[in-house]
Amino acid sequence: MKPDFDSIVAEHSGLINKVCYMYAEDSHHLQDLRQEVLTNIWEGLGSYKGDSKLSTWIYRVAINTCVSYIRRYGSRPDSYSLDTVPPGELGSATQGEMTTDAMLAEMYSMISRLSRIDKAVVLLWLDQYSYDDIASLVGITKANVAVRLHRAKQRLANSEI
Amino acid sequence: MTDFEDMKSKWQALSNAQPSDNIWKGLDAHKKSHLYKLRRTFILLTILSAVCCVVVPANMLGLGMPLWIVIVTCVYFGACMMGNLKLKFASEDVDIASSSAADVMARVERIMRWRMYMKWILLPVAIAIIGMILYYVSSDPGAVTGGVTGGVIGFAIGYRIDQRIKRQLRSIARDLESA
Repeated sequence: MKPDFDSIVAEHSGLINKVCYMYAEDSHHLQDLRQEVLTNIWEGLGSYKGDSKLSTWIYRVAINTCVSYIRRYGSRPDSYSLDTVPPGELGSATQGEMTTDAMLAEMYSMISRLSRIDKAVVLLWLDQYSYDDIASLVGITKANVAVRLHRAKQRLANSEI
Repeated sequence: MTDFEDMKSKWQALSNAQPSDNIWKGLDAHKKSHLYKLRRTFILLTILSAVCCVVVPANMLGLGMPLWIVIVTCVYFGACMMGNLKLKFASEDVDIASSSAADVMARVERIMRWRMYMKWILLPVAIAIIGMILYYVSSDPGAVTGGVTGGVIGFAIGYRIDQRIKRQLRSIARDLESA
């Protein structure tokens, strides 16, 4: 039975939002990516056979959409940089909203400087995926996953303010 | 935040909270994806090129234009048709829902690069053909100048967009080299 689209989006909106935010350059780009991910989930839902967890499948669609999105136009005048996204946009925790928003924004800011594939690797690693799963989702070898993570950690450590 | 492992331990709690509802307002699942629209464009351009391959040269012969221009025009539309057909098949191979990220990136990068090369080779030819047609059918030099100027301006605007796309393709290609 085809899973219900609305309930899937409602349940996984945090995940989708997280991936899109990682790849977006500004608010318009973020909205475009969210729209594109949602549309690709809608179009691809018929082909989901349940051979992996639904959250893993949605992660795959979201990452694949974001890494392959080619932007035709630059920032528009009414868009804002994601360094100044208002609280609540990132899905902040209920306690100490300003503090957790600031921490999350800092994390996103650091990781957003990585390449498309490196972002995907780091994002999946942060979400506790195994090296095997990361390699399969991203399409690189397990050794490459380890190398990329090591390089990303070094770069993030060196870019500390 | 200095510690990468510390980041990982905080990540789940920070990032899995649900975003506010207003973020999802205005999103429409029934819109078509960018890839779908691209595929549809390639199909339309293939059909249009196939029709023009026959209709335009036939009309040019009827107007008494030189045979070599007619042949060039026919070859031009034939090249457009074959190129768009190739892109259409290539875009059908992109499977966002089941391929890996590197595979999707590589395929999309290839499609966009071919499309750009096609434009940059065929567009100047198109402008030249339009200029020649206008020269033969128009007794008004102003119309010829206007037609060619419009073509050049459109070319310049497209160039700016393509430079942006080209930068992104270069970054994708570099990323894939180490994959």
